[in-house]
Amino acid sequence: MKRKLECILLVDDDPDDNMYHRIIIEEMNITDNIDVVLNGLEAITYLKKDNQAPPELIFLDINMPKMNGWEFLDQYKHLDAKQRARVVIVILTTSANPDHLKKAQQIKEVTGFETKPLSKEMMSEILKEHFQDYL
Amino acid sequence: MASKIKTSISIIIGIILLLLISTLIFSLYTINKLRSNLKIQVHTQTVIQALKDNLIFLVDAETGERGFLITSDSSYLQPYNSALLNINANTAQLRSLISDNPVQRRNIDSLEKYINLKVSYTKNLITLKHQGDDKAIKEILILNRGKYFMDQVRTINYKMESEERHLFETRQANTNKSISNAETVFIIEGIFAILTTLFLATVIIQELDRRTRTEKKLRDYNIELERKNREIEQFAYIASHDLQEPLRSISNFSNLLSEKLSANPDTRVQEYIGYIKGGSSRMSNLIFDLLEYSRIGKDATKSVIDCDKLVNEVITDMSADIKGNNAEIRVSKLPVVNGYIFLKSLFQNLLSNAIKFHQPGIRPFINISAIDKGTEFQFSIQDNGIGIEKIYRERVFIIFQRLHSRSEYEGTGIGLSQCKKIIELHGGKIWIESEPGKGTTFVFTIPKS
Repeated sequence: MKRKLECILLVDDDPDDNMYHRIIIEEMNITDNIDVVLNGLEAITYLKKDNQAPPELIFLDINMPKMNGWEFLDQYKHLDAKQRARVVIVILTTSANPDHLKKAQQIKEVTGFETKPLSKEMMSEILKEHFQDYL
Repeated sequence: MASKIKTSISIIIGIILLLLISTLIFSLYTINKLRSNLKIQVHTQTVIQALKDNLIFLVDAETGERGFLITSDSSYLQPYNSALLNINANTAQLRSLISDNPVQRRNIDSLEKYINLKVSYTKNLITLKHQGDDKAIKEILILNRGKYFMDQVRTINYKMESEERHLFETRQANTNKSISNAETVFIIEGIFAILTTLFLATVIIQELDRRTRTEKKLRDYNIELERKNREIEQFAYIASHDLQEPLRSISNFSNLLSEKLSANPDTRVQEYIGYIKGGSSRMSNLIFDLLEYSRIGKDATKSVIDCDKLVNEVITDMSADIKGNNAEIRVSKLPVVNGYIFLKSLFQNLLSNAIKFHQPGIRPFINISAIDKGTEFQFSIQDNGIGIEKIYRERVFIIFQRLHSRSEYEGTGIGLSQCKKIIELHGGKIWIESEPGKGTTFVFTIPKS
């Protein structure tokens, strides 16, 4: 049996969504560590923490207070290689605004762009694409 | 208002032009009059000079004759002979100069008569002198006929000269009158032209002022309108975005609840959860469509769009729906247009309507075609569905207007208003041709430029 993902980070200011996404991920039993932060700033602080193993998958919301998804991606580019290692970032947002999709496609750190809510099918697709050696 | 101003400006300019033209004609007329007067003056001088010359030549001839009669010296005859020649030439010239005046023609006839009488009288005396007949000469001289002829010539000469001067003065008076007339006319016309021009200037300046004010007002309104529009767009976006979030929670957790309670023996639990899910999904569709509607035309730029390709993409996207309804779609060759990417939503909406409103039990058949109408392309999307009654053909394009209840056909009532907004963005028109029970044809135009 393949092993589980180290850690999945949810970056979203909506506690309902965080709760729901956590439930979906837990039910799929693909990781034991699901961490939640409420905006981009908290996400950066999280990634910069000493002894913090970088999460393997980040779900990023766009519309957030303090630091939104785009601002987070700007900062993320300047992090140490160690802090970013093996991280897949999937944007998970409310509306499929075509402008946002176009913008996301131009950022190489972003590997996916999906509309909320996260579903089990969506999760399986992501695993198939990026984590074939897991599970 | 604008056309009224245009008419009054045209009328004023017409008046000014008329004034200028009449002044021009009148000045040409006056100049001509002055020129002909100048000619008459020269003519009069020439006639008077010719009359004077005639007298001088006659006196010359007389002097030569008298010298010869007294001295018998034939050298006196030389000036006499040349004077006779000159008299002939001079009289001929005089005749041609006054040929247009019957009074003067009569005068010159009698003048010539007396000149001839005087000349033959003189010639007679000279012939008698050559013959040495001094006695006959004496007899003739005593009668003094020569002086009589000479006096007649002088009198007629004077009459002719007065006639010429009189003619000249009459014409001169005429000319003076027309000069003073011209002066009056020029002054009046000039004043009138100046007043009219001033009036025209006032009208134009007032109109320009009014336009500047209107333009400024319009610009202000436009800026205000743009600001309001941006606000509304922003509002629509934020509202629909923020509305989605609580709705998603409802739908997410009712899904979870439905799973958790799947084993519950009370079947009503699943039924109630179904209503919650259905309601939230409808509201979600509504919000999504509203968001799409508010996005049409926002920050959009035109590009070259191959409608063949676009429609193929739409058909691929909708393949599940098409197959599910066993629909047949035929697409004729479609043109390449200069348009906005929103055209894809337009074809999506119209195609999905054509499939959705099919007649029960009849296979949906949809024909998409376009014709070149010169300045625009006219597209048709024809189906064999339920059709639309005439009275509803305008109303269906109004947002949230639905012809059927939700239990008959799904829908938010936004799709066709979206289509109308997209076509109007292109500067085209959209309308419906339909026969209820036989099908509907949506027709729309896209201008080429």
